[in-house]
Amino acid sequence: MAPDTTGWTSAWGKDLSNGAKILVIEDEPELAAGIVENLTAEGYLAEVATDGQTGLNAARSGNHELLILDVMLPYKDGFAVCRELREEGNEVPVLFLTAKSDPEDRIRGLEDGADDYMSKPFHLAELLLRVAAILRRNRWYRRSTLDRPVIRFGENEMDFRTYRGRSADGIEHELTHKEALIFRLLAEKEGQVVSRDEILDVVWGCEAFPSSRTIDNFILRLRRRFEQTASTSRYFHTVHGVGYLFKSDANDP
Amino acid sequence: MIDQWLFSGEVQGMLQETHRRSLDVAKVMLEQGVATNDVAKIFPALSVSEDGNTIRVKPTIIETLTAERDSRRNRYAWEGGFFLIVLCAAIGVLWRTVRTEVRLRQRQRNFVTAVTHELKSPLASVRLSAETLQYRENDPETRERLIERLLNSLDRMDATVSNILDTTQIDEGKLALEPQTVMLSPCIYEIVNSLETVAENAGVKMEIAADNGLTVYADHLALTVVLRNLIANGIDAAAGVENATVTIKANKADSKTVVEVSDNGRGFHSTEGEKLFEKFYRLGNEIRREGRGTGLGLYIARSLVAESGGGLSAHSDGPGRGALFRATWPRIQQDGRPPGVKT
Repeated sequence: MAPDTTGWTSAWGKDLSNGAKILVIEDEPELAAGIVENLTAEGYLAEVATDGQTGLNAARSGNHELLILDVMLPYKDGFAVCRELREEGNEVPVLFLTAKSDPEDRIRGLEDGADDYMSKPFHLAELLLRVAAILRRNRWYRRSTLDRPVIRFGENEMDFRTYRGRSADGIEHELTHKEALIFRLLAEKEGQVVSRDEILDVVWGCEAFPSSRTIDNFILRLRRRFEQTASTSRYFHTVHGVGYLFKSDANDP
Repeated sequence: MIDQWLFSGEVQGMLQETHRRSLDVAKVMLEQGVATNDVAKIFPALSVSEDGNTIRVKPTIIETLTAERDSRRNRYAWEGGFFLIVLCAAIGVLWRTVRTEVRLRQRQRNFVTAVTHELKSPLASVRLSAETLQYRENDPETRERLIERLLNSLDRMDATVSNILDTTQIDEGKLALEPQTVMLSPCIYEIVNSLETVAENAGVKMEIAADNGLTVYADHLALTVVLRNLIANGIDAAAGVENATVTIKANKADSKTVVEVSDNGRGFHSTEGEKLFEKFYRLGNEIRREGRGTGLGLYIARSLVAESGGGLSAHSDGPGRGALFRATWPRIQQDGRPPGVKT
């Protein structure tokens, strides 16, 4: 556990943080300081950047387990920071913490590759819970990947460590973090139906996503990458009204 | 209009054709032995020579027809042209109105976003500090710090709300100002002192070159608001650049008292110089924030300077090349009142 500089005790009784390194990008100095103190009290290693550009640079080199990112920032807005990181292949989890709370903004943030979205003002306890949830999800992914890093199905192959897959036609695909998380969840529960709610819960956290339709889009993207024909699904099956099902040993139809 | 134009041509052509036909008929009638006079009576548009050998359409008729066509065409051209001009003018006016409306909407949206941010961020900070106080066991020192942070955030919210209210009052002409003779230098030093911590945290140096004995005839509080706004803007703009400096100069020039606040910070495009004073205008776009603010500060500042008969202008050589804000007030005359002050 990180040294507790504030003298506070953890709110959770036991330490869930494992000293995870968190970067807070926030231009309101009082708010940034308050968040950092609370994260530190929970046992995280927290640091602050006060504008978009400094934040982006820090995130590039920082090896953080999570970014808490404001949207309205000097020099570079939060959406752009998140997008640029994703374009560079940096899949560090991002929690948007912003005054902009329109549904469009939430959707935009999540589409730019964010993991969760909270609007200001927020409840301290909720922030800490969500931070813990994101870190738990990503630890689950890493642990699960460690057990079985590569999955072969038909002529396809997926390496969850590098997010890279190869389809039967030999084409290499680089999956996004979210696509990999969904795939991982389906693969872990191979042969079982995974409900939309469960996907929402594990991959996004319960409240972040406005519509389960978006999951359909993610499944569609996985199908486009790995299914030989667009019309028939051999590996990624939809169970209508329930959820999705992954089979790696699909027989030819 | 073009239809009308062609139509009058067509009508004229048809009339000429009719005359040509009557000419043919008249020829036949003459050949048949009808008296010249009778033919002339039946076809008044034709002129028949006494001997009945030559027959033609009266030249006056053709002239009349051509003249009539031309006059019609002339009229259509004028009317059409006139309507065209009116139409263009109407489209122009409409386009301008729509464009102004769109710009205003855009700026109001920016304003709402800015106000949302300016209120919600400190509000989030207030809530966080309060919850931390409630939620954790804090030692007295931490508690002190949290309360200070909470109060700072409340001050910021208060400032934002005041700005919005001031703007409303300016717009409704309800500002209750009490102009008086104010000593300029002490006023400047007071503001600079109060902004010392802010400047220090931002890594900005402040330099003052104010002539002694300068006076301004203005509302004291309004003057403080204006100067504070300009200096705080300068600090905000200069923060982060090398050798960040805000320079405040005050002197006499011609018949005016001049205060110049310059910085070597972010600057702006020369085209933005005037827009800065428009309500809700902010540098950057809706979400990329070039500094704090609601886009009201300079609008308020200019309105307040104008109330005391002065002017406020902005200049920059371009982005990244610093900015200069120049406020002028009319010099106080012998009778204690400057010229041009609203009384």
